This record gives sequence, C-alpha cells and structure tokens, in this order.
Amino acid sequence: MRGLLKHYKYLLLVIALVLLGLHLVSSSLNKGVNTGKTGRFIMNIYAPVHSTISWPFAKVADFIGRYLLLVDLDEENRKLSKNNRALRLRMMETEKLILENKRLRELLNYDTPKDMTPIYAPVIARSLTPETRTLLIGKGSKDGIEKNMVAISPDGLVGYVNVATANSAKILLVTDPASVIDAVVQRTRATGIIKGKNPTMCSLNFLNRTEDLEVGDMVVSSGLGGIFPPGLTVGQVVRVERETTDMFLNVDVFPAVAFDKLEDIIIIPGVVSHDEPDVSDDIADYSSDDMEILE
Amino acid sequence: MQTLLFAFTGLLLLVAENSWKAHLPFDFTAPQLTLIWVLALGLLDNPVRGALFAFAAGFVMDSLVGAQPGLNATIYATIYFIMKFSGKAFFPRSLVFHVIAAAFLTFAALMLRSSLLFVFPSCDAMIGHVLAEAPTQVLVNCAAAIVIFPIMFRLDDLTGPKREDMFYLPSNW
Repeated sequence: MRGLLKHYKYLLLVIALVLLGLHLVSSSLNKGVNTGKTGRFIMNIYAPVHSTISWPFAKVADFIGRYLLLVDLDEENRKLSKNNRALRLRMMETEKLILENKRLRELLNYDTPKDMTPIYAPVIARSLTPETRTLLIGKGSKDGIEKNMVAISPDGLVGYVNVATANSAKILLVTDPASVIDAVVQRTRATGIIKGKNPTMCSLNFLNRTEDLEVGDMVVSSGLGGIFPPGLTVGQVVRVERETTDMFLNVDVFPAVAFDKLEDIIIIPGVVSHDEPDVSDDIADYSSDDMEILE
Repeated sequence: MQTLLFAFTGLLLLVAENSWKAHLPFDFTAPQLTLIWVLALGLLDNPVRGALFAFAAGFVMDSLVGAQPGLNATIYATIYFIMKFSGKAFFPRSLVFHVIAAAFLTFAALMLRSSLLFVFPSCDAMIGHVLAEAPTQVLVNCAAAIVIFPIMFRLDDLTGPKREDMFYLPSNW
C-alpha cells in the first residue's frame, strides 16, 4: 500500500489540487461574487509588486509616448486648447449654478449632499475572460476606498467596489452578470434594472412593454437600489424588442464606458453610508437566483 | 534557485498579462501568458513543484480578477496534469509540439471553463462568449507559446542539472 502511494504520489497530488479547486468553486456557488481571506491577502500584496515590476516598462512606454510618438501633436494641441476654452466657460456657468443650488438648499433647509471628493486610481489588472468582468485598482482602504463605493470615468458609470484591501480594490463592472443597477431612461423616466448580459452589453429588465422606448435613448442610474447615486450615465439603448407574449420589453444597452481601454478610474462615495449594512452581497444573491425567477 | 527563477518568470508573465490589454493600441485578444507558463512547466521536470505552481497561478488569477474562487485554479491544475502526461509521449523540445499542445490545451481549458460555468447561475449566459472567443484565443496563445516555451527551456538548461549528469554519454564509456 505504501509503495503504491509512493508510486502514485504525483497523481494523487494533482487529484487533490483539482478537488480543492472544485471545492472552492462549489463553496462560492451560493455566495455570489466573493473573495476569501487568502484572496484578499494576494490582492493586497499584488498592488506594490505590480507597480515595482511594471515601473521600468511604464517609464519606457512614457518615454516613447512623450518623445518619439509626436505625430499630430500640434493638431491635438489646438483641439485641446479649443476644448479648454469651451470647458472654462462651462465651468463658470457650473460654479454659478452650484452656488445658486447651495443657497436654495439652505433656504429650503434641504439635506446637503455627501462629500463627493473623488479618488483617482490606476487600473492594475483586468479580467481577460468573458464570464467575469472585474478590474483591480492600485488603491485601497489606505487611500480611503471602501466597499460599495462607486467607480466612474468621464464617460459614465464603471461599476462598484466589491472588495477593498489596504493597497488595492476589486471593481465589479456594470457588464458583470452579478452586477445589478436600478436605472432610469433619461427621456421617458421609465425605470428598470440594468444587468450584465455579455462582455460588451447590458440588458435593461422589467421595463413595461407599453413604455415608449427608442434606440438611442440614454439610460442613467436612478439613485435607488442602495449604491449608485442618481444621474450617472450607464449607456445607450441599442436594441428594443417587443415580444407579443412578454410582459416586459427586451432591451439591450451598450455601456457608455469602453472598459477595455480604462487606465484610470474615479472612485466616489456610494449612496449607502458605511455604517449601514452591506448590500452588495444581497445584490449578488439577487442577481444570481431571484432574477431568474422574476424573469 | 530554479524554483525562484520559475516563480519570478510566472510573476512577470502575470503582471504582463494583467496590464497587457490596457496598453494595446487596438482591440486585441490578449494571450493567456500564465496558462502558457503552466503548459511549459508541464514539460519540465519536478512534477510536484509544477503542480503546485499551476494551482497557485490559477488561484492568484482568481483572487485578482476572477469572481469565482477556484475556477482558474481547477483549470490550471487539470491542464498541467494533461500536459505532464502528454509531454511524456512526444518529444518535449519540439517547437511543433509546443504549438500543437498550446492550441489543443487552450481549447481544452476553454471547454473546461465552459463546463464549470454551467454550475454558476449568473454565468451560464456567458458560455457562448467563452466559446466564441476560442479560435482567436487559440491562435494568440500559440503565438505566445512560440516565445515562452523556449525561454522556459533555456532557464531550465541554465539552472537545472547538467545534461552530462543525466545521460550516460559516450565520453563516459
């Protein structure tokens, strides 16, 4: 028996590892998107390792970009100057509106909005497989990032912080199948639920089939649901299907953000205060099981 | 020494794989560098170290960017096992074998991923996309294998036991 074990020790090791992997898979089945203690530890130590290893490559890429690839720089400079002038005018108007808004809120004794100081974070890893749409960012709780904070880019909503460690944080993208956002169609104010459909598309669910919806309509977050503040651009409607037998419309929404090209993202606080119970796990559970029943 | 060197190579490939896509100038299927590294380990000696490295690489991938813990770890350990046993039947230093093995096992890894995704209720809709990407992914991984396999063999030659010690050469007769 001992000789047999010795002879097949390698085979037994591989079988044990595969079984361990399957055990991890099965134990994560009912938990939704989850990262255990070991996973958090790996995330935590990966961020400094990544920045150390990629530093020389980043410098070379920076040098090439800054000094060698200067084609069209003059034209780009002119375009940016023009944009800058337009934005400065817009900013003056916005500042005036902010002051007016603040004054009116004070007059009405209305709740002042929470501090929305953004945190800029670099993307250090991204999922290459279609079934998971996550990003790893190089900033964590040390920099003020906490679970359920919202990730945005200048183009729109990116996702939310699913796991935060001291040095890094994992962002669950809006296209992930476990991601669920309460959304509203900007033109008609019709509300529905945005859910990740495939690597490049989301679906807008539970929209009554009598709703007036057209291709090209913009979809924004409604502010309900516990995480995302209202008014963040989610995407644009690209397909509307009215099945005669269905209660709801079949709607595809193309995300406003090109996730594959994101290099930096902005983290802002979510609508849930950090003292309140965590809702993301509920969302993950809701997305996996209840959504199917509802559909 | 060799263990450290292989681990460092794996780490480099992991960082490259994770930051690769953001720096490419066009929409491109990125190569799965750590999977190719695991395949190369399957052709080198020390099966215990290789199996543990394969599992660890998958587990790290799961922790960093995966949403289902254990998915990549299971796939990498299984693929390593297949490579280890198929490598015995062929000439492991042949470039043709490297390319064929990379193509076949990338496809096997995608099939295994699709099968495992069936158990996740939220991910079953993604299976079609996993399979749709298969042809491109196989091609890209084959190209990466042409580069990574020789590097791993060279590292093994530099740090592993001398060939003269392993074979009974005519000079020793």
